[in-house]
Amino acid sequence: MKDIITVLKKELRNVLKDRRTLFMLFGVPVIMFLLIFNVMGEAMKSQEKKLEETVYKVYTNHAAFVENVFRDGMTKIELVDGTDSIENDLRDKRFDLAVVVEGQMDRLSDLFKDETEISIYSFSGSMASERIARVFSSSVNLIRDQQLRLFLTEAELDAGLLDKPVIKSINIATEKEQAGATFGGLLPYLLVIYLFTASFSVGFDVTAGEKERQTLTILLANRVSRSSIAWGKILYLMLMNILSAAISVVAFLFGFSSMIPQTGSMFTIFTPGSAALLFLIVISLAVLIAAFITVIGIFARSVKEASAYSLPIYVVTILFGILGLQSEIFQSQGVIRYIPLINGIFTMKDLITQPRLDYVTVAITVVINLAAAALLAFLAAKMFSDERFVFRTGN
Amino acid sequence: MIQFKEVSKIFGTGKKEVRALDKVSFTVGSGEIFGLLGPNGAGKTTSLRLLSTLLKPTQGQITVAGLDTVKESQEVRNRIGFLSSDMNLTGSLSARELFRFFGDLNHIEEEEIANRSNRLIGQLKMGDFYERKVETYSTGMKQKALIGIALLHDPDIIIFDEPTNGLDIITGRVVLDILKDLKNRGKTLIVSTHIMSIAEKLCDRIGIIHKGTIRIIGTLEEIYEKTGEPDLEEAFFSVIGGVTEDEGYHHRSKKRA
Repeated sequence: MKDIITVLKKELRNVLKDRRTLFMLFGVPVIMFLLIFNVMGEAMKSQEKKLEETVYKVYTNHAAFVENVFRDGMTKIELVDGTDSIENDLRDKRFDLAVVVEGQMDRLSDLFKDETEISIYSFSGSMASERIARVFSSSVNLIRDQQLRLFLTEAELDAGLLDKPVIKSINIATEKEQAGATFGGLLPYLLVIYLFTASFSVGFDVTAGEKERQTLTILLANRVSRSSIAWGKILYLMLMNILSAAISVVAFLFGFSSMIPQTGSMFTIFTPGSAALLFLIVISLAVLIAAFITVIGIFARSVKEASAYSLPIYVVTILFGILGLQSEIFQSQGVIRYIPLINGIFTMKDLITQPRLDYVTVAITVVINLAAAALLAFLAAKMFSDERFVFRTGN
Repeated sequence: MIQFKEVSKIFGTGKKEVRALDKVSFTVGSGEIFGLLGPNGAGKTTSLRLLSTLLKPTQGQITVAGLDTVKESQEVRNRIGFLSSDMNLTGSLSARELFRFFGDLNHIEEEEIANRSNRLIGQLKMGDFYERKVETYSTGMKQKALIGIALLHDPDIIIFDEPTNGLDIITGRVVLDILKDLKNRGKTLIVSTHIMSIAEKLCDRIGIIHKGTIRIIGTLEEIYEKTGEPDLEEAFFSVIGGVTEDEGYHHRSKKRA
């Protein structure tokens, strides 16, 4: 154990003195996320303001009706005369909306005639077109309801019928659960991405990179056991993975929360229990990814080759991350909990989104990942003793 | 102290098979300085890597102080200091920090590491660069730091593969002085070199290896006697069969009458 700690301390000391690597690992993600989300937030606000102030161009064959629909003046419009092709003019943004009324419509009550048909043309490639089409549709529905109410009143019927049944929408989700639904899929996905990201830069540097630079021989010629070298490097990577992932994810969530405040604070998604279990899962994933990267790194002849080998696994993991983000196809309690690495994504998601903690699934996830990591670490130690891998360089 | 018994080393398989060493046998006694000479690709580095446990023999056995280099590799590494020409140092740590790291790996007490580091820094004439990041070092500085690391745990057996390779004349002299000092301290040394003068000045016995086999072994006098040559360089070419184009040698010395 002493040798493992010595190797670990040496690698840490080395990286702590390397300001450029430290900045790339920890500084860049923080700056990047905060900057991206601030810029995105400002852009969204400015877009919203712009849409409100926009004078929308509308083509119609029934100007009186359209002006009536927008008579409240909340949305400013400008009518455009004539068109050869509605589709082309919408695509060319000559106007944002086209309203074609079929049938005779002199009064609003004509809305209910059989021959009346209103076609609303919009172009979803334009935010302005989409917005004005939405506003127009809901305004027409409002006018239709007002006319119905008028008919019922004139016919001495209860206009209140239109308000029946009373529909109450009650969301029983707590603030924690609402925030959990937002971050539940996102957080595991991001964590796994960043656990890999640090490994790619640091992990391959201390394995394949050392082989390339011919700095590994000096360590191997020393009395330290190969398993101590392997574990020292794995633990170092694990630490770097966790630190980098934690900093990146916190920066992401801060940025995300600041851009979309209605998602709730990210801190509300955790209880002390769920946070502790999440940490356990992250540790198991970090050590597994570190062991995996170490094996790949010692197998490959160069950093470039190591990156190429690990890319397929990374892509598969990302794919499962996206599935976990968008669907409920996989349940963490199913067979998936026995698949190392992938199980972590789904168990973390459940941990954040489900009200009750499933200790059994968490335990299985952690044990499976640690067992896989131990197997890989054993393999890494064997590879460090094997001249076919240690001296397999591209030089 | 060191024994090679019928050691062969084969790299690759099938058509790519390369027999780097073929039934090599020799012994090196305690306190002896043994020079391994040979052209490039002769098997010097392979022999020394086998001895330092970095490689495993395909056939045969190597023992160091009675310890098998395959079965008891960690104990063997504890007794040797290894320096190879293909070793390198990079990174943000200084030579002093690396001495500390390798001292810790060898379970040397902190105070003792400091004492030995200071002694080696003086002996190697490292000036004040030992506090700088090794990535800023020149070739000579790196070689000095590597020698320091190899000697820090005060091993009984020192294996130096081309220790003066790529060094300027001043740094080469420092390395030579270190080797002399080790000799005076009764250490066992195996040195591979292509510089004949180093072998002549330092080595008690010399082995000339060519195409994976030891062609001749003995003291300088014994080699002169066996080859009938007056100096080591001539003896060397006599043993390896002269200069051939495929080996790329450009021997300009006089032909013997």
